[in-house]
Parts: sequence; structure tokens; C-alpha cells
Amino acid sequence: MQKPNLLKSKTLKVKSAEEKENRLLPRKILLVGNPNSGKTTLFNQLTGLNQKIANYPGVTVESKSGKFSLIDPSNRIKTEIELIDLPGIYSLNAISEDEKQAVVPIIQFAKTGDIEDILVIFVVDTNNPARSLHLYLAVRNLGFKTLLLMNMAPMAAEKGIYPNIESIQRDLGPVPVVISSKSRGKTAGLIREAVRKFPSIPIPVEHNSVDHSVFNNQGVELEKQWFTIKEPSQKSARQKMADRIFMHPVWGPICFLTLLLLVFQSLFTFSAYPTDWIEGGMDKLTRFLSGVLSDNLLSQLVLEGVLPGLTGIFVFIPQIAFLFMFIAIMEESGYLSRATFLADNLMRRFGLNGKSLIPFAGGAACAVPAILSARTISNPRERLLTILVTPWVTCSARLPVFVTLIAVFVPEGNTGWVSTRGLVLGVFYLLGVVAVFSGAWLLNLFFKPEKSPSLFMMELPDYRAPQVKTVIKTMLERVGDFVWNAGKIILAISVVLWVLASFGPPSEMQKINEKYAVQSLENPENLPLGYKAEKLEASFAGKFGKIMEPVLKPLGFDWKIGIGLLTSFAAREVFVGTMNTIYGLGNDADSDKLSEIMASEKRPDGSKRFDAATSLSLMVFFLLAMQCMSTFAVVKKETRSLKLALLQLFLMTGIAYVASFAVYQTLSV
Amino acid sequence: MLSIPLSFAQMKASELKVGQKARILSVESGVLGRRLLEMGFIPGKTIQLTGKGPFGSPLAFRVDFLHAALRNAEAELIEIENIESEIR
Repeated sequence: MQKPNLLKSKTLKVKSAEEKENRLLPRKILLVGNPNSGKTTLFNQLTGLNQKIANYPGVTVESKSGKFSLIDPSNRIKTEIELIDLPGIYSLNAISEDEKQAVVPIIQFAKTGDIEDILVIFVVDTNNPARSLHLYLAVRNLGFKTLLLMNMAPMAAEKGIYPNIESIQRDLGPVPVVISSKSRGKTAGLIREAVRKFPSIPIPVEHNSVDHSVFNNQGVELEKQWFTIKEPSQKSARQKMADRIFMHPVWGPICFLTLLLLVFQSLFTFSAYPTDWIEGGMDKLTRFLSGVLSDNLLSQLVLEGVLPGLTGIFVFIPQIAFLFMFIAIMEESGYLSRATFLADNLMRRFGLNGKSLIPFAGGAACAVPAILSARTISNPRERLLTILVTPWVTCSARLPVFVTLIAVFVPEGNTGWVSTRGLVLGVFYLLGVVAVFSGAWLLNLFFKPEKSPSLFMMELPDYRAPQVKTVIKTMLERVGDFVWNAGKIILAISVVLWVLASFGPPSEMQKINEKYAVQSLENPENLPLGYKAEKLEASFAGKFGKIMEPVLKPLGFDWKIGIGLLTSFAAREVFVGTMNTIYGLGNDADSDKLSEIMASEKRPDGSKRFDAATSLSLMVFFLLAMQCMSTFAVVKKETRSLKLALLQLFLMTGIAYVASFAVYQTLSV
Repeated sequence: MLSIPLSFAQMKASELKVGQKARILSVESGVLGRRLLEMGFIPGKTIQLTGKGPFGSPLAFRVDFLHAALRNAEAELIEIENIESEIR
């Protein structure tokens, strides 16, 4: 995926006039339209790419470019055209960052004047034509050749809104008008056909006299002329009924909280079985390989370094999948924008905005896209606050860490009718939310007040049944991303870690070998007790961890956890992989299950290493610390300030240190 | 029939009661008012307050095919005239 190159149009200006006249197809196609009118769905359909779609305004916050190929039916020649998906806008006057991402390129193209070979596919939200037409006129008046797509026409027909192609073309000339059908594939086919008419599309006469700084009612007039509007069908009554419950000042929040509780409960209960299958499968694979592979360094690396690291990630696939399924359903159904409506009043008191809920909900998956989605917040100060606190929302990368640690110190069983482990996890999600709001409240006190107005103008799109296909696709994609991205890092880190943890200063390693009189190295099954642990301690990784230990001791952490914290800065879930590698190397326990190995880990004085104090202290550290390079990078990019990104990094990590210190010192007394 | 005079009492959209309908008279100028117009809060159209958030904010409005939430401060930019007393 690359950002569209806006400067390209300048370099292409050298093309001869002749060439331009002969041009049968556009060089670039822009998708322009109101927010939530279905541009990205069309983009994905036409390019075969997978950009995120959902049912709320402001999903697309930056322009995306892809290739759209057309085959000439006469000579079977394939032409590739650049297709650019722009964030939704209401007019050419941008008032937020995401709108600027659309308006600036449109104006830029028009200014360079080289727009004869650009086609704008203008996506009309047929459910609300007047507003779309207002924007359409503004774009057309810049001189773009346009194609009108009456999108979501089947849905509009239910409301009694029908476009009238004859009257549109009577007014505009032979501008292609496509009416969307229920099948996306069919709509895409109609678009392809219409794009071929590109040479015959008239170049609009520029109306420089139209003053766009003054709002005009032309959209409303054209809606009357170009659309037939009849009495709506009964379907919209159900929509209103749903809103009476979900947006009710009392029932609305109750529904929202109940929904969240259900989600976290099911994260534990639904995913228990698939998690067991994966664990069992990886266990069998390890046993099989250890039987097959000859015992050499490479097989040790695979068995002790790579496989434990990968297992640590794979077992979380079910939970990640369920989390994303719930998020996708909330987004697809149109419920998320209702939730922002319920949240705005509360958010305002903390210097945030109802729209901050979208980054926060996204933050439950990953802070990186979530921080990008803060672009829809038009007030710069609210946006900044949102960006700074979003990483405190418990993301999917913390989930493996929490689940592992909870399994170490919380016994299985139920409290009342909920699982105790699920309850503890729920409490940690809640603590994340508490951190978000307290953080915002504090920052709100220290940040200078800003003059630009705080806005909350949120459209409430019609509810629609979440499309199973979209939900499953989102799920699979995110799981794929998780496995692939985390897998890459974990693979690399576990290899490095294995080397560092297996080798040490030769003289010391020699001593340990002599101490245990290891002639049994040929037979790794019968290593003497304590040999592996001592060797790990003497290794390079052990030495490194020991250097950090004094700093971490007050939090209840030893050098092994220290190594885990260090590697987890690449990505938090790496911690689990690291623990797997380290404990796999340095432990004599029978079990292969990480949580059981960790539970049996002892301190020098014989007490449990992972007692409640240490485990909770570690969880609190993960809850609050900013251990993620990618988040740091995206904050720096979005705020355009290294200083702010560093501030966030040190504040979060400092607060985490203090909080963990307090937890450990209180509980370990 | 109630003996309410045919009042064209001018008020702001923020003063509507839930469920009440009114006609939009004008929208204040400025960046915000402009955006309201662009979103579809257009003079002459009928506006209905469909709901209020917790503790009275924000407000949800319907205008034709638009369903949108505004804060009270934003809704105050919309001048309306009561049409329900007219109907009665």
C-alpha cells in the first residue's frame, strides 16, 4: 500500500497534447463522497485490496491508492488505472485532519490544471441525496470529469428514494450514472462499463462565479429535480425502535456495559476449547520433532528457542479472533456511533470527545490504527489528549501476557456465576479504562486550554445486519496480522535470545559443566537437577538480566522477567514467547505449559516466584507501561513531535514503575 | 381544540422536547453553522429531536434523511419556529 503521489501530475504534464486527446481511459480515478457512503467498500471491490470498512462516518482517515484494471473487450488489452480512495467529506472546507486528507489532494489536482485525464467517481449516499449533491456540485465546478454512483440505492428504495437518470443527464449531459445493486460484484461491473465511457464524458464548464464560501441550497433543489421521493416503507420504524433503547439516557449505557461484560466473559469461555486444541497440537509437534531430529545445535535451537516462542503466540489465536469479531460486529452494525453519543457527555468532562470512543474501542485491538482514527476529532487539543491516553486501553498484545499471568496465580473456578479468571481479566480491562480517564484528567489540567471550538457532530447511520462475510474477513485478517507480525518478531527474538541464553563466557560454562560432571550431554534426558538453571544464569542473557535486576527488584521482578520486559518493547506479546524460551531452557519441571512452569518457579528462599504480589505487580506494569515501538512511532508521526512521543513514553513507563512498586511493596509485606 | 394562539415563537433547536418537531428558520453563520448546513440542517426543513444522551447531552436530531447527534452548544446555532402549536 502506498500513498498516492500527488506530485506525479506535475511531472506528467510534459505529455503532448495529442497523447491526451487520444486517451481513452483515465489516468487516475478518485473516489469522492460524503462520510460513510460506501467508498471504501467500492475501493476494495474494484482493487481486490482489503481496506478497513465499517458502519460509522470517518473510518477512512487517509487516502489510499490501489490498482484498478480494465480489460478492453475488443483487443483483450489490460489497462491499469490508479484508484484513490479518499476520506469522506461534507464540503471542500475541511475542519478536521481526516477531511484535510481528502480536500487537499482534490484542490491540488484542480490547481495543477492537469485534470482532463482524471475521473472522479462521485459516490452519492442515495439515502440522503441533497447533501451529496451539494458536495458534488462543488467538486464538479473544479472542472473534474465525473461519474455518479447512486450508492446504497436498494436501501434508499426502502425509504422511498429513487434516482431519476433521465433528469440528471438532461441537466448534466452524458455523465454516466450508475445505480448500485444489492450485489457488490454487479455494481463493480456497472462501474467498469461506465469508466469505459470516459472519452465521452463532458468536461464541465467552470462556474467561477459560484462562491463556495457561502452555502447555497442547490443540493436541495437538485434533490427535488433528480430524485423521486415517495412515502417510506415500514422498515424505518424498527430502526427508530432500536434507537429508543440503545440511545436511551438510562437503558443505553446499561446495554453498553452489559455488552462489554459479555464480550470479556466470552473471551475466556468460548476460546477455552480451541486454545486447548492448539496447545495440544503444538505439544505433539514438539514431541514428534524431538523424536525425529538428531540432537545437534540446530535442532536445539528449533526445539528450545523457536517452537516455544511460536506456541506462546499461537495459543492466543482464538481469543484474538473473538475480540475482533466483537469489534467488527459493533462497527458493522452502526452501534459504535450510538456508543459515541452515549459517551460524549462523560468524555467532555475529561477534555476528550465522544468521538474518542472510536480510538478507545480500536485500542482494544491495537493502539496503532486506533491512534490514526483519532483524526476525525476536529479539536486539536482533544485529539492530542486522545492520542496520548489511547495506549492505556488494554490491547490484544497485552491479552496473552494477562492471560498467562492470571493462569499462574488465580485458581480455576467460579466466583458466583462468572469464571474467576475471566473476572480478574475484566478488572484489568477496567483498570485500563480507569488509567485512560485519569490520564486524560491529569493532562487536561496541565495542557493549555485551546481556543478552537470543541465539536461533536456525529451522524447516526442506519443500523444494518453485520455482514457475516465482512466480519469473518476482518477476523481472519487481524488474526493473520497478529500471527505474522508477532510471529516474525518472536522468531527473530527467540533465536537471538536462545543464543544469548545458551552460551556464556566459556570459562564459566566450563566450570558448570565440570561441577555437574556432564558427560551426560549426549543424553539430554538425564541432565542433573539444577544444571540447566545454573547454566542459564551464567549465560550472556543471564549476565545481562543480572545487570538490570537491582532496578527491578523493588517491583518483585528477577532477571528473567527483566529480559522479558526488555524484549517486550518490540511488542508486548513477545514477553510470553521470551518467558517460554527462558523457562524452557532453565527449568527442570515436567510440564510443558508455561503457566505451570512459571507457577512452580521458586525464589532463592524457596517461596514461589510468581506469587500474587509479583504477578499483580507485573500485570500492572504491563497495563501501564508503553512497551511498544510501533505505538511510539505512530504517535510521533501523528503529533509531528518527537517531544510529545518521548513525553508519553517516559510518563507511561514512569507511572508503570511507580504503580508496580506500590503494588508489590503493599502486597509482599 | 385548545385556544393556543398561532404563535410563531422563535426558539433554538436545543430547546426542543424529545419527540417535538419544528421548522428550521436559520442557522448562524460561521464555521460551525456552515458545517451544520452542509450536513443537512437546512432552513425550511422540519427538524425533530429524537433523543437526549445521559444527563441531557448530546442531542439527536432528524432532518429529512439525516440522523445526527449534536451538542447543546451546536444545536443552539439553529433557530427554529414551533410548528406544533400551528397544527393544533
